[in-house]
Amino acid sequence: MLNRQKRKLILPFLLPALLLYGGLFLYPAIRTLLIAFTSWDGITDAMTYVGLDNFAQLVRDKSFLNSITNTFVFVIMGGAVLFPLAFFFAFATSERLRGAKVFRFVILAPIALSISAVALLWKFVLDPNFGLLNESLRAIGLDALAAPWLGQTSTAMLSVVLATVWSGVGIWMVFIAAAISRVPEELKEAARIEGASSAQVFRHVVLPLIADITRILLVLWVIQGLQVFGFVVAMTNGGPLNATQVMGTYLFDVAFTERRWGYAAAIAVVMFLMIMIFAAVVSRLSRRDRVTY
Amino acid sequence: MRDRGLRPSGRPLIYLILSLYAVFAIGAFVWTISVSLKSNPEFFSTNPWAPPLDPQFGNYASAWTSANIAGFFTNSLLVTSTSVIATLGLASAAAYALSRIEFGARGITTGVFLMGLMIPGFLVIVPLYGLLEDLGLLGSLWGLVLIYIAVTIPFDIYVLTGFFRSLPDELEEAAFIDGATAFQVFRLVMMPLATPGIASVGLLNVLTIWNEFFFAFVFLFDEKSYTVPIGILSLSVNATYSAAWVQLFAGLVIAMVPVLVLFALFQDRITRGLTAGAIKG
Repeated sequence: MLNRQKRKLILPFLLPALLLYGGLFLYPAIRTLLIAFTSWDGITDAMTYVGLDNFAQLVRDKSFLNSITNTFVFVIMGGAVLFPLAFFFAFATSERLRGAKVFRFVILAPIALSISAVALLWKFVLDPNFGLLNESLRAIGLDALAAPWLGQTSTAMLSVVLATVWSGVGIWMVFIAAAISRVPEELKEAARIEGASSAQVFRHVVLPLIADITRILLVLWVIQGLQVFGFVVAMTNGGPLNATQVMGTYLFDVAFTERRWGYAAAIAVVMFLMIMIFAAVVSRLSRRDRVTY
Repeated sequence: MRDRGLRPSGRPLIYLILSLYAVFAIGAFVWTISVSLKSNPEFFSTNPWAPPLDPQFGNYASAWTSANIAGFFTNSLLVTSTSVIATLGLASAAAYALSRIEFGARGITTGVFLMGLMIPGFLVIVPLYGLLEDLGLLGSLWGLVLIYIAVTIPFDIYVLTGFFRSLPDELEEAAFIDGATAFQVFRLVMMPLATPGIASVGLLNVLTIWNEFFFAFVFLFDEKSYTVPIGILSLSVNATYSAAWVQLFAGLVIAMVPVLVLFALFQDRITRGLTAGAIKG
């Protein structure tokens, strides 16, 4: 009875959301898949079908291959810094330490800052002449260590990684802490009764039990890292000498600087396929998350 | 249940690492504020740890007006509030329909919306540009608002359908028996019950949209229409050429402080929202 009355609401309740979402999000996504098979430049109306030419060209495109490499460097370096840090923070702030609230705030607060604010802050700190880091190094006599962090190819990507990790580590800490909280207290207690310290409890009881979730988080990080864009644009703009050019920034250049939309769409499709592959891995891994205690 | 806690030798190390991290983060922040109160020549000549000789609060006034940070904030406020309110409205209605009304196409429609969770921004950017161009909305804040609504709807629907489904049926039935129309049941019974869920998801939306970078970067061209993230970016690009460093520092502080204050006030609610998502997901 009520449901029959409710059915009158279906169209007015669903249509607005469906139209906006469908028209401005879903439909363009599908269109990109189609454009990838043309040589459209986005300006003229000429959309000539070129089959797999764009993709064949991508495979030989040195700049694109360079951007893939850089993207994976970012993902691997980023993961290597992010996860140990996030695990440590999750462990450290769960202990009853004095000032845990302050620490948690300091770790978590940067997620509220915008990408360009974080990027600018780090650009200032890393400025070769007046930045906090180099000036401090010089003040204590370590002049030799003061380097043009963002200006040299060897440290540019690391700098972008550090800024990204600093701004996001709080969220990952929250996720890992949530996973840890699902570990039954009895197991931790049993280990403590056996004489284990908190660190040992963490290493030998907690970590193995959250291994599945950790795997999932790792893949989620990869998916996120593959799409890195804002930090690169704001800190280095792909430089120096394309050392930080990633897939996202390369796609932007091809689409809006070179105005080759067909080719850009092909890049988008390749990126999307990469993400889909990792997303499939996630769903396979999460189905295995059936740890019985 | 005695918790032995950390071995005595372990604690100081943990404190040390946490403190180093905190010192760096707070130090960078304090340095930014300190520089923002210096004058340009003072910044270049003194060491970074020296406090400002004569606090130049004028840097803030100049950043707010002549660097147009006031404009950036206005734009961001406009865009964020409109987008979030509209998205919450549309998504709540859709989520209600998808979770509490029985109809044939329910599964497919839900699936269509959830597909959006898998669509990354760069997959739509090229045709979207063409679309906005055809609609004459390139460079317009309203175009950006429409995009924000469209891309935020999937996530809100995902969260809110779960939430609506968890609400009890009895209250709806009771209201209906009392003579309420279906819409009144939605508006007067369900929506008030859904407020906490809507508030949490709305808060996350505000945070995401306020800081959104990608679409704003592609679709905003005129300094007058920049939102805060793009405005800060343009300032940093320009300042490197004009050497108006201390004003730029002041601008950065202005960009950071309100958000940090907001975060400090809502930290618990935000963390709870993130954790709920983490445990569910």
